Amino acid sequence: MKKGKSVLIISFFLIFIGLFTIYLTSGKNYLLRQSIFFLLGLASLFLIIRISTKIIFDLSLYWYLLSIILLILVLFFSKNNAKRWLDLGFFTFQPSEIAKITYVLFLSYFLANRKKMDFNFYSLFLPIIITLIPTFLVLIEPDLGSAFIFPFIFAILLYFRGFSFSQIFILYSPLFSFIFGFSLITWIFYFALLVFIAFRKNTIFFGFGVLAINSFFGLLNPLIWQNLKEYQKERIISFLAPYLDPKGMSWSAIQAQIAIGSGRILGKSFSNPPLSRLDFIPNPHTDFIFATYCEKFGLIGVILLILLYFFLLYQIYYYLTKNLDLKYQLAIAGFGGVLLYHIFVNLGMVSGILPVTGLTLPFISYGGTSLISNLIIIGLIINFINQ
Amino acid sequence: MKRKFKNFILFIIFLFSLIFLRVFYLQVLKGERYERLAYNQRIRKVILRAQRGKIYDSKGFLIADTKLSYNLAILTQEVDTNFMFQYLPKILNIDLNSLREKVKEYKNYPYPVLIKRNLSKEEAIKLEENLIFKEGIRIEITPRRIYPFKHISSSAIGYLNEVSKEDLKDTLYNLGDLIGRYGIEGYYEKILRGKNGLALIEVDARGREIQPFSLAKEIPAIPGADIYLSLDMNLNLICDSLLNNYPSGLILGVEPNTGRIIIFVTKPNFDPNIFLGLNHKEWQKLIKNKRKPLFSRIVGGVYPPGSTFKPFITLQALTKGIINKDYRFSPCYGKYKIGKRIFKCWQSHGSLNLIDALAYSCNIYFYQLGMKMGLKEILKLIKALELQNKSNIDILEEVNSRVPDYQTAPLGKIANLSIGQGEISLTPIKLAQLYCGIFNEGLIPRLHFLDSIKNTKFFHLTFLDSLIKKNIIKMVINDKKETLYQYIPQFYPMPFSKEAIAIVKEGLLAVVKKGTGINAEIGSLKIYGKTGTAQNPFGKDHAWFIGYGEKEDKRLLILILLENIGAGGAYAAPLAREIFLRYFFKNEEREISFNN
Repeated sequence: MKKGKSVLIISFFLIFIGLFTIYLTSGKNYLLRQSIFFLLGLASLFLIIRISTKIIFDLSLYWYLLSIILLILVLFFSKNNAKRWLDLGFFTFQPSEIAKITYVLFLSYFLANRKKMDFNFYSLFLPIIITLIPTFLVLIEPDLGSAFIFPFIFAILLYFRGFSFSQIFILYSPLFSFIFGFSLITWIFYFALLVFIAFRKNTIFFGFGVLAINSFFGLLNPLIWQNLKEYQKERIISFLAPYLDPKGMSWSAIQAQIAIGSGRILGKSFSNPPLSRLDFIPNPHTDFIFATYCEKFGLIGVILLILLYFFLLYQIYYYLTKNLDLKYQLAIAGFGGVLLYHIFVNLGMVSGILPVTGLTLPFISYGGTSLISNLIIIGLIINFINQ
Repeated sequence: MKRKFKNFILFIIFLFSLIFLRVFYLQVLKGERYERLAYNQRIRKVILRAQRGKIYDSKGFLIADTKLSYNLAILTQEVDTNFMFQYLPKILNIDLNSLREKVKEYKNYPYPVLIKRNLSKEEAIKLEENLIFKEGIRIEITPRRIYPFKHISSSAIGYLNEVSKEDLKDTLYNLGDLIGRYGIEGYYEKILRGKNGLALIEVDARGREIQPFSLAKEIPAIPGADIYLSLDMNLNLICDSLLNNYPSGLILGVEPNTGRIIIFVTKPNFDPNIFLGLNHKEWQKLIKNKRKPLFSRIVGGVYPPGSTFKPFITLQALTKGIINKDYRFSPCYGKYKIGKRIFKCWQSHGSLNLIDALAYSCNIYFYQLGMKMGLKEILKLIKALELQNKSNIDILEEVNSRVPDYQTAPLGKIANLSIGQGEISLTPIKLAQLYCGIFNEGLIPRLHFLDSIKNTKFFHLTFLDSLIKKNIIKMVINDKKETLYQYIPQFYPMPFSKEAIAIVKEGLLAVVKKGTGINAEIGSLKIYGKTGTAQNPFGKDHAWFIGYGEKEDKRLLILILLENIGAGGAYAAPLAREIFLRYFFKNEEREISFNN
């Protein structure tokens, strides 16, 4: 292991911040347990660094299929209401965490081995299927937050496989059009942007084709949606996004924002702020740990944390400019994407700019599955940049 | 790759600056305000209590209604307890000790704690004048349950109670909410209950409300769904008064071709209106009452069926070809010797065929029939009818019936069993259900109170789904384009031949025409029936009567049980006649008015 020390060091630094925050919010017991998870994660990290990339990549199809099977099993065997956890008797884990890793590996391998990737149906059909299967399976668990990670990573991999931003935008445009179709005004703005992108560098024929498809999907939304019965709409919304409160108030989100705000610039690390102590914030050491962190360390702490995350991602993506085999480059980009997605969605959720979804904050949140799988990701990244 | 790298880093910077700007907004621009909020907890949650769904009878009369009431609540964290202990008992009729206990129990509870329900207008005004400016004392306006029919059919309707700490584990409930405990109110709790709303209110340092919290909109309360029952309260009212002359008893009326329960009346009973605000003492008094007003006799009591069991013995014997319609045993001389014991009949009937044996309920005929069939055949009958199983009516108080647990028995026991005595005790509901089968071409209906559910909301769907899965209700959209959930009648076949059922029906017709049930006879109408006397080791026998009549498309099966009174034919049958007359001839829509 010659390269990638900086990635490792920043990750450890983040984990120590996490341990400290967990200790401050939830006490010694949680600190002890998280430390044990950390040691377990560390062991798997060093194991992964040494593992042959041949095993990782040549078998990536089977890893991928295995995780798809786990995603199907969890739908039948999970005892909880949201079918996310698989119980193996001695421990439980989320198959979606594994699927994220195997998906990145397999898709990188698949895209790298294609001699030619063009912006056409032939090139894109299989990768789209590979993406949609886990997306769909996680969506019906239901875990909206985790499901969207697959299309997100897919876009990043396409970008680094040579597709341009506008091509990716056009590829995703039917989905955007469908989403923006909820309101006419937003859809018109979106459509204007699309007109600009669709005709740039493309033939007129292609451009009109894109607009036609988008109009179709844009209309689909009001046509389908408005014809649904009220209870059907409610059922869909609350199934896909149980946290989402259509009436506009989520107690936990409000409490989280008060906690963040009360930290102000310097934070309250050494006084005893009452909010998280009095259980106003749900899960103060897991999903909502950022709220507690903000309260303890203030804006200064937030700047530090965001910078640390930024340098971590910078260091990871920096290796894409080095001379690496394409499959390693893509895998590194994909794993960076997994981290970026988790960081952004969690921080956005806690600070109130995204809906509450229940994703953990990498390295900081309490929890074995999350910490160990993030360390495995770091291990894989370091393994690849040393190739 | 370098250019892509740079672009991607810009993308990350863009995402992270969104987060940074948001946190900056919260911590720097709004920081002072949030710090204040955080440290003083100056946002209070106010629960907007949901209105419970209404219950209607089959004619649309309100059985359970919700109206507004004034309640006194306190915030234990903010209230000046000394002041309260001193002044509150002066203004209200309130028990100081239980008040102290409540304050202690919910010391750190962040919501208002209910102290007294249903304040009168005068009390509310007095409170407003004296205490409203005191911190932490408030008057809440909440929905209140009213039962216009009072004690009528109370064992079917049930009552409400305040939620316990155990109930609060379900996050849909808040302290002070009401929960259905019994009868329909209990069984359909998940349908009837609404969903409480929530408002966040900023309060000042003295606990006074300043303004709604601006970051959040109020969540309005969502009312519960309404339930329509098959009960005919008009008829229940009449039946209840028919029972007035008897210390304890019950009347059950069912439509055999649908399983709809029309009449469900017991004596003694209770007034569900009094349960709210009942203190511990009054509650104990009600529970320990020797007449057991809370005991749901129709579904919770088990009684020997007595002679009402004879038709089923007959059905089995006919189906298996053991006897036929004209079969005669040794004549009845009022006494019959089995082994060394002498078994009696209530009269000396002479030689009887099957129809007359049923009509005059001759025990000696059935002793001989039972012994001819043998114990095995009787046990088979009990098993095939699933006698011990519940009828699965839609209230929770139902118990299992009791059946013999032996495989061999002396002849005397077998003889006893064949006239419904001995180790066999049935709930009235189960017995009525079996009789429905006889009058519904051998199809036993599932019994139910529920007709339809209306005005359902989204959060009811889980429970509705569970009912739909069990094939109990189906969704329909009526002409007014309302979505409602309708009960689906269900039947399972009796293990008897069609011919056997026809013969037994002939016998049951003879019971009323000339036999023991003659007191139920109505000249212009075919009335079927069976009397019975349930031997009671603790006192006088219980009187059974089960009757059935039909006119045009109206059908009604009535089961009457009068406790500790004597023979069924003499006491119970005349009541049935009265009810049949009302149901088939005089039951024109009349207005019922009640004052609350």
